Amino acid sequence: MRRSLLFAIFLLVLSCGGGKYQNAATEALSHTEKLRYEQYMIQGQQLYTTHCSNCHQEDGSGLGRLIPPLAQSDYLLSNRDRTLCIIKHGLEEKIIVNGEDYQQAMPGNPSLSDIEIAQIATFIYNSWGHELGYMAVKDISPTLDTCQK
Amino acid sequence: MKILHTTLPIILLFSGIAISCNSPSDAEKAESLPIFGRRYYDEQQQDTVYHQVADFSFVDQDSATITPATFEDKIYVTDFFFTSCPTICPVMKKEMLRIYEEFKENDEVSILSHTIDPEYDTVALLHDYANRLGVSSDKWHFVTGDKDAIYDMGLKSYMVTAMEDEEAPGGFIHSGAFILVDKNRHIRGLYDGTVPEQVDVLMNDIRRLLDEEKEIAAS
Repeated sequence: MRRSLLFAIFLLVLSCGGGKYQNAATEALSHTEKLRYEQYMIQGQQLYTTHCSNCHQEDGSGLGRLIPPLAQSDYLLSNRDRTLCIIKHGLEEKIIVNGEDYQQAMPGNPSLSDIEIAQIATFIYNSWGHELGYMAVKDISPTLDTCQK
Repeated sequence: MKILHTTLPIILLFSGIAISCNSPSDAEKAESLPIFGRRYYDEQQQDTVYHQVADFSFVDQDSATITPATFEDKIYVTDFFFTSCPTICPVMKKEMLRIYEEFKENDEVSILSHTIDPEYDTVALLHDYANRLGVSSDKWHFVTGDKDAIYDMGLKSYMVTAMEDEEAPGGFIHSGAFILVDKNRHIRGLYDGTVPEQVDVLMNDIRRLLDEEKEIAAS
């Protein structure tokens, strides 16, 4: 039901020529890339709901000083490559986000494919006021290959 | 005839007011919260005996001993979780935090969260956890203790699942239930703590239960 609804929205977006997810960073994209980007956003949101939102919450706000926020997170916004690796492999050590330290370990998601990580990354980097634009799988795959672990 | 014309609407108006004033309280009385669990009729006491939460003794994040006496004259909401839980716990805690905020100023409402991983979740760790969640220990107790005693409380007293399972993510299976307990240690509601709409119902039931206790105290 939810899937078909999202698909309907996707078709609607297509027929309108896009817009809902577009931001300053995606203006320069070609028409095909824009469509691909919209598709990433929709898939990315679904994957985020399945794999991330239990802890980081639907609105990316995290939980107290236990689970760091993703929305307006300085760590996320300034460590893109590291973030991609954390999505895949998890995190053991303490990190500092917006001046607060977080110690809880994050489990990895080794079963996610590169394209799924690209979709999640595109979603979190273009939601909650973030405007980092389209992150194509061909651009992030080399980074994922260099992750330590 | 003329009199009827003027009085009839007035009569209707008044009866309408009377109905609207009476019906909600009648409905509330009729729909008092159920008491969960097994019950039996005690011949000697000549009364029905309801399922009650058993005695327990655990230790909270301040190393204080927590027993049923801690919740004397209080109603409480309880759940089972563990701090390293990768699945439903953060959502449950976010929802429990809503309950905490809503009844922060009401001393008659308490919260009791049991860890089901007491070997890892020490007092120190629970202390840090509660601190990071930003909650006060006299309202919200995070308890640890003997593992089997905790699982027993879950299964026998609160009627929810809580146990170790190597196959499950994080190593434990547990239900996401929030359990509402009244001042007589009776279970008055079971809710899915991962569903915001259910937690809304729970918060409303807490208010209903507080009103009910007030009525009993007054009578």
